[in-house]
Amino acid sequence: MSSHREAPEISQDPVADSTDVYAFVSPDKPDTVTLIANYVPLQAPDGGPNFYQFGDEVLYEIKVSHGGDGKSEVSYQFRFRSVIENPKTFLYNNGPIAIKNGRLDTSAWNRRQFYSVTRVDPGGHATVLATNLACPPCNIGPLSTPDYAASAAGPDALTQNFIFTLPTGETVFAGQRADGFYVDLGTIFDLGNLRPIAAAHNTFGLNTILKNMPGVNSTAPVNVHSIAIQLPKTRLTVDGSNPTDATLPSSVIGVYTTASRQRVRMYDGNGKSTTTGPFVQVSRLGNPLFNEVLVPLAQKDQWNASAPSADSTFAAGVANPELGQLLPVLFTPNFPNLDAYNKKIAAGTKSRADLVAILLTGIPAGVVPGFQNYTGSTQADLLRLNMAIAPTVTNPNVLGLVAGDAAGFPNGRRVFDDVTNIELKAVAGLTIPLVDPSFTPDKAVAIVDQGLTSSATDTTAKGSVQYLTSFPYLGTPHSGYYTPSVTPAAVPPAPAP
Amino acid sequence: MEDLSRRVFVRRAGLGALAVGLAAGTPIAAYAAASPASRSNPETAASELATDNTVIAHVVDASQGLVHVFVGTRMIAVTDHGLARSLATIASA
Repeated sequence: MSSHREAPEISQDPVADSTDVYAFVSPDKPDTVTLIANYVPLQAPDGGPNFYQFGDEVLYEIKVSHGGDGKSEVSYQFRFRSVIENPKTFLYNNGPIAIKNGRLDTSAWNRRQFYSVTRVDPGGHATVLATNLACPPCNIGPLSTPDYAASAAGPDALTQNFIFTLPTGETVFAGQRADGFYVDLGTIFDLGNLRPIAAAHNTFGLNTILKNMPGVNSTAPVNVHSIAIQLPKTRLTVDGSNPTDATLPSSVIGVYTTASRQRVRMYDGNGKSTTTGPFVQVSRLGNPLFNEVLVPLAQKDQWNASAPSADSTFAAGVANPELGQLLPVLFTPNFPNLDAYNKKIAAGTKSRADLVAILLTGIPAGVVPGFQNYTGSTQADLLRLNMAIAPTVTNPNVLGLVAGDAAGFPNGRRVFDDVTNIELKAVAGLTIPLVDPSFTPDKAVAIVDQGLTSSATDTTAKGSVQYLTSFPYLGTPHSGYYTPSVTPAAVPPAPAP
Repeated sequence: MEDLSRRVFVRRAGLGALAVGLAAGTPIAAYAAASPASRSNPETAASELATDNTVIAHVVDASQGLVHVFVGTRMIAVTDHGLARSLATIASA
């Protein structure tokens, strides 16, 4: 999936495992950009009593590159600190964490977490913007966290207590949300057995045992931990200007997130541990699915520890993606044109310059009329956002730029963008004509679909909690009581809000 | 990187609750526990390093005398054949 447990080492370190990055011009505040980095993947909502949290020993960063060199010029750092309020109980809470008389009563809340926000400017100057900001509780259930009722528009009453506006203009939130990424994991990793087109899967005898069927949203019932920051565009441009001209290189930023740990950790033998030494990167994420799908298994840990500016090391997996080679094999004979193109790639006469542009350099001017998010020739996996492109407020297309909606992926990424389908279709050949007009995509590209949206303007992502129309945009976290990790059919659904 | 003389290193390292460990083969990872006798001037060292700071020495390459010292959020690279030998001796005891 996007980047949940995508590499061997980080799959064993969930609190440092980045799952998704989002970067978009805020639809309700178009003078601002919202950046979101998700961590702690695949949370079963009923996973108590030690419910999920960020890692106290992890340095989380959302980094912004605007210099064309793939290096971070602006970084927002988040550090967390956990507190046990009552050392005599095993419970996360021993009473409701609820709003009473207009004020959140935290007296029964035992395990809490607080965080600081630091901005590192170009040149490396660090400024602590805030300390001791509180994270919200996890969504335990209607008795423990009754104010987590899902909301159709803005954040629920409980979440509102944990959105902070800083004196320097940033708005921040850090805590549990419903996972907004959607994917049919069971099909992707069962040898590309996409349910909606299972009958076309002509390998391993699959089409003899399965018929086409609707997709299943594997991440629909799970939560993640989100770090979200909304800030004026002027805080992100090179010169502090407000980007209004989409043709200018200065309107484009590259975004990625990293998690770092100190180099040494020593278990003290008394249930505690000590860490020391400089921080080293253990996880990163820019474009969805990059490390997941394009980097070979043996290199995934190295990728997580390296900087985007060194991504030419991994460019071969983009210029000749393994998945692009597999599609004609798995779905024989539905991809004859892609198969022929792959043979030219193998012969060295062609390459997937379309994917290199989308993922590693940005799309130069002249490729898509009226659009560019090119950051120069340095190959770096960055989520590139042209901030001068206005948000699409009415009927945004979940297929983003490839469907004509320039406010969507791969121009940044909105919470509802169907990035799996976009990348599947791109790898299947949809975007090759952007750089090679001699290529005609196979008709089968149209049916490559994981089947999780009813239409291109369906932003509900089948089975997902509803996205919000305002910060922090990701939906109310799933309740542990209403979304148990086992036998969900035995429990009545949550009442409508 | 800040260079440390062996003398300064041993003084500083002497403040930590030190132990010695061996990584598989070479290089040797040493979390060194200096005995009280090796603390040349504990009072001076105490003023140089807060007692809650853990000091960890990693013998990266004993043959080259390369030792990495970790303290706080810093790593100090030291090339000191004598120090590397001493730690290796402790580790193999």
